[in-house]
Amino acid sequence: MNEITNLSGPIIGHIPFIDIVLYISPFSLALVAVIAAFTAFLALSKPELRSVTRFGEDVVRTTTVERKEARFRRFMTILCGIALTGVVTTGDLFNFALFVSLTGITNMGIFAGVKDAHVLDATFHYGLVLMICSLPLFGGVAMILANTGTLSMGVLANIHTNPILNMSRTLLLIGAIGEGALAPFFATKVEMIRAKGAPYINMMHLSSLMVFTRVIEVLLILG
Amino acid sequence: MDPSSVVPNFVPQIITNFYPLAIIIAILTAAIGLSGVIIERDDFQKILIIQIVTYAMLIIVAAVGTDLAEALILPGLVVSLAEILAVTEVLIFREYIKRGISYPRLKEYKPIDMEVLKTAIPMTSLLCVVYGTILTGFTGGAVAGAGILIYLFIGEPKGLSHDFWEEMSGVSGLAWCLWLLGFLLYFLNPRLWLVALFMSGGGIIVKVALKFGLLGILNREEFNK
Repeated sequence: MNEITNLSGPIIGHIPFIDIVLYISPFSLALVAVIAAFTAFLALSKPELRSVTRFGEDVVRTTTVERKEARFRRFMTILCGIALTGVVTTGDLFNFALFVSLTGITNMGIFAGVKDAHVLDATFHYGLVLMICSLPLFGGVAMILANTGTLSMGVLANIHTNPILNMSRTLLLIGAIGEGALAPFFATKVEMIRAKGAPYINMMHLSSLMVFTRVIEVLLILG
Repeated sequence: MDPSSVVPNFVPQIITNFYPLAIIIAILTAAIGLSGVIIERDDFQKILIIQIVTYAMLIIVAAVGTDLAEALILPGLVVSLAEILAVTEVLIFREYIKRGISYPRLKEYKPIDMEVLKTAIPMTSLLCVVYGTILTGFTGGAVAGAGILIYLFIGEPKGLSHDFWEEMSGVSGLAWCLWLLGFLLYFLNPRLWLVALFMSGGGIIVKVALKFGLLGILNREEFNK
């Protein structure tokens, strides 16, 4: 518990959810507040009306998002918010990996209904990265389990690090980077953000930010 | 941390020594899968090859070899299944957009006429059902269900009315109740553990097997019209 309290302040409370042990600290409370506010803002806003000018014509076209498509994206945005809340509050390493991959899947779902071949192409490649990166993510968690015999972050915080544990942490970092579409893998994200329907696609930025913040905290706790 | 402090004393040394071997096999599997992804150009083939990488993930989780690892394999499998389903949906949607159509155009095909497809089906499914019954439990249910599935998918069952399968799905629900009651009995009165074990073990095999069978019924009713 020492590392956790050093990093994120005193633990305010536990939420026992059968085997999903969630804990709340001032740090995670701030992150949850940001996620809840952002998700509520996105869920209540209407999709954008984007104007497109074409070269060679004296016309400005307004593109709209269909009602059904917008509803699906709003649903996926709310689901992504719930998954992110799980990512920042969970106290179990395997649940952390599960919530991170759920974030990736819901991110992909936000873009899955866009009727644009370029965006769908980029989403497809993001999905391939997700599937590949589940190997280092879950592999790192399983190697930590094999090495220490526990998955609870409260217990892992007191265990001294060793070379194999460091390798598992590196694997965990690579996996989380891939699922959150962070630095080396973000090329497809840039293409995906060209999709219309502005407010919902901003969820992807929030999820990248939160996954990055949380994975750094988890790595520090494990070390 | 020294591995001997994590592994209990009664585990033989040879089992502990298998762990690095399993990790090496998983890394080799992942290397094969990833090199396949690099070489392959077709998008659909890429999805299929990436499944090999997912298997490597399952190998690493399974290599831990405890009850907890067994419980962790199922969520890992579900996550990989969800990812492959989502990616496949995106791929299908993209192909529709590219071709400018909104419904699939299936090609006409002619079934292969082989004698073994008619004669081997009842024997194979019977073997699966018998072996599944011997196994019992969830695994046995899956094996027996696969037998029923083969019979309904490939063989052409005759003389079974629509009502029969409706009743079978009802039996599946009752078997599930039996499973739940068995677990409840186990917690309420642990001295009756043998009865509870038989109730839950028998219930789950019937439930899982018939649920697999329902897939075959869906296939018959939806696609063979």
